[in-house]
Amino acid sequence: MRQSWWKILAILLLLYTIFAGLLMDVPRLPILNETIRALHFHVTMWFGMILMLMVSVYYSIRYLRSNNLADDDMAIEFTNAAILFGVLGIVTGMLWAKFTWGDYWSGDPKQNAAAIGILMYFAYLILRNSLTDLQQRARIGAIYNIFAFAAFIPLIFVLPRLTDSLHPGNGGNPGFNAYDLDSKLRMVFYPAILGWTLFGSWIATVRVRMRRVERVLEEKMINP
Amino acid sequence: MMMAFSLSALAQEKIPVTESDYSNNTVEMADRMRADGKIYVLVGVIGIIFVGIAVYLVSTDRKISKIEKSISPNH
Repeated sequence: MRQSWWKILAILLLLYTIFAGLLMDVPRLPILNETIRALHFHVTMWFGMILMLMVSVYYSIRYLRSNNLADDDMAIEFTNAAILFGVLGIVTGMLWAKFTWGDYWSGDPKQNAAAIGILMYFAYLILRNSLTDLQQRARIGAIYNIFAFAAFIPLIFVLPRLTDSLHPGNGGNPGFNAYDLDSKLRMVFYPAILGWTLFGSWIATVRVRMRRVERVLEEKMINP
Repeated sequence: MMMAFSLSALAQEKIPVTESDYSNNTVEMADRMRADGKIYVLVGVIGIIFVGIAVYLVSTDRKISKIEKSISPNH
């Protein structure tokens, strides 16, 4: 395993998240009850997704400057891992919503915006796969990725706050962040964000390395 | 101006979580589950699943390292 310290850190942080997140004392709040612990699992998916999308945008910009396919590999695989986290975020959010808001999908602005965001990234994957030329795919993909990120951030951070939302801290609704994020919860929440992000990045880098090996093998087949 | 003021007032309307929220026994929590409901078994189960996934990822990582070495020995 190359440069393994951060991978070990990811595993340790997530073991801590699972044990402390499920067992530590949490505030006893009505409606939320024990589901408050989903903070360390559902909410962190979104934080991890955004952080990985930032990495992806960084590599997309780098690709546009360098035209080096190695940068494009990083961009696409970090987006893939981010999409995985996003889908898990939506599904876990639906389950959580069923037992706290009363329905899997209540057309909440943030739910809808997150769904639109995910669809945007599905479109990114389809767009890429519809192009056969590697450089063209990487270039158009990079530009799309930058614009998708620029649209995604206001979609999930700004627009839901302008209207009434069930989501905490949006539209003055006393969901969750109406409560001050408690310092005891933070002790698990922040390590959990870091742990999940590192874990996702690990998955992404393994797949990047697969792509690079594939490319070398293809080149060897073309020019033996 | 007025709007900016009311917005900042809105932001301050957070309900602080206090020590009393930790001892508020009127809210149902999984207390009995913790005492005799074998919650630790569940934590163990989730822990084992996570360790399993992590081990699988480690082995995939190792495999790809080996392939990398085989295609370019000076990698």
